[in-house]
Amino acid sequence: MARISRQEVEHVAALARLVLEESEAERAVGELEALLDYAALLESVDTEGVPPTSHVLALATPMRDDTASESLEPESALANAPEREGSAFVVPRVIDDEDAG
Amino acid sequence: MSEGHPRYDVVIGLEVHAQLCTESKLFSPAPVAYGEPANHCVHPICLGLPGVLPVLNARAVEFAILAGLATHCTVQLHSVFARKNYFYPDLPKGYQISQYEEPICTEGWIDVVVEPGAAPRRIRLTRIHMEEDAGKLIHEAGAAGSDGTRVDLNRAGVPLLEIVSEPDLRSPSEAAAYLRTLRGILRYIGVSDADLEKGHFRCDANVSLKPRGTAELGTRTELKNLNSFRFVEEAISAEIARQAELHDEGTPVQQATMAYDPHTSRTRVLRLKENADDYRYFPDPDLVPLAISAEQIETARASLPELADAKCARFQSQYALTAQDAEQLTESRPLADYFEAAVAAYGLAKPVANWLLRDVLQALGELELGIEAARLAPESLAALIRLVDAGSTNAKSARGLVKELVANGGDPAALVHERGLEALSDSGELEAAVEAVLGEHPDDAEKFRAGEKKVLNFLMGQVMRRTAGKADPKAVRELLARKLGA
Repeated sequence: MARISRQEVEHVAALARLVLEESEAERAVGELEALLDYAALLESVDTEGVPPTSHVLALATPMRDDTASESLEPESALANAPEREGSAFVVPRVIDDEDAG
Repeated sequence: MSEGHPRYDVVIGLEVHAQLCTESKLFSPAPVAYGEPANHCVHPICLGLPGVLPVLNARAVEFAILAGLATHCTVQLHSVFARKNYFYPDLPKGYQISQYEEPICTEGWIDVVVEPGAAPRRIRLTRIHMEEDAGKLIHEAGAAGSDGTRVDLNRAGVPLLEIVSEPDLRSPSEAAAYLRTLRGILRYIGVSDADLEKGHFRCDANVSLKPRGTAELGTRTELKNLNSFRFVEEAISAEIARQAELHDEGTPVQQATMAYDPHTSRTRVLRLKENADDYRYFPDPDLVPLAISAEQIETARASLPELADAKCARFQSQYALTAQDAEQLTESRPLADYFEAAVAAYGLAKPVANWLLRDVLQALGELELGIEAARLAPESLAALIRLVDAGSTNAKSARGLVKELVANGGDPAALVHERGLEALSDSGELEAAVEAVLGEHPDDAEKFRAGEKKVLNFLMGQVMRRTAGKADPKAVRELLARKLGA
């Protein structure tokens, strides 16, 4: 069942910031199809009347009280930063065209 | 008032991000604070360090429930946190925890008064969901001259409500009125400070046009990050004008994210949405579904305070205030509470409303203070008005003291005494002043007796001048009239 196009592989790779070689992209088409086929086994299960499940644990999310603890020391927070300026991380320049929605 | 458009129907939907006023972040115990140096309010969870697990803040959930109830939403007993995946350095995890298919609140409405006294417009809400804020990126070159982007994650993980309206708004002024109302509700119920300057209340607007009376929706554009009510109105007006021009020319509107430039009063395309955003949402495996009990919802409902619209209606009926006064007084809960405390102390509503809306608010404006910071207690405002009623000082002198009392507090009667502002109404000094003025202006006194009644105003002015404004005008008028035999 060919459900994965080469184009889709490239799209997914771009979203994941992966650069694929020609041969890797070809291989990924086959591998992703095999993955989808495997997951498609679930389609044979009768789910009539079963509500969509987002989690397999029969738990409700635990919560904590709204109490603030001390911040991590800035020196610890920045300990692994390849580049910093003052107490700010510095990353390769990005264009400001997207804010969290 | 910025209206819609004469030839096109304007369709506006708004998305608001409101910051919840919790002590700690949505999924981590890192403190929420404003104005701290970069990365001084962080925790391994909001830094996205390996091996950490998010734990939900119970108060943020309570606040979301309150917001849902106050906006007539259905609060869902079951909701799900989802990952919104994108790579951008403002979120180190590579995803934002949000809610997608199953948000905490759905299908509500708020009533919005666009013009004082006019019937409200009911604006439907699609949903309210909880999500974490992203960090702050600073693109301007830093002091050290680095050409990279600086990342401050103090804001990353701060709890937000995203409140999405249906496309029910029809003009820029309606959009601004909706935002003011929504902000008022969030502040009334105490879930958000909604301080626009601190970015607690941010708005994106979806705008489209369609020829008047037609049914088919036009292509919409999204205006991002409108951070003041004035900019919302201006930006939407500019975008309506831009789209109307395109429609007139027959050029199709392209789906795009727009930015508003207040310097040119124009909107410009930030990026075209040729490819739909692909965030690959999926339920966050680190967070099991959020379950809320019906009891918890009922407890929250019982704790809801009287909201602005109900208070406004009550003020009009209980205190016989005009719609305009009542709306102004109920804009914020502290102001409304102050008013009611002052009325309780004074006994009558209308004079309190006048003094509060005119003098106290003006003083607060000049001092750049909120009503919470006023050191003139409601009881002292009542006392000040009573001094005027009793003729102990005149209204002009009393009004002149409001700013000082608001700034420094103190006893109004003592301050009147200290400044020598007691009215002269009962003293011989006033009578002497009146006689002196009549002695200096015998011609005018004669004119008055001959029937030229308006001369009285001139004579009153002379007396007020002679008493350095301390006389009670009513007493002066009476005394003059008596002396002139009127």
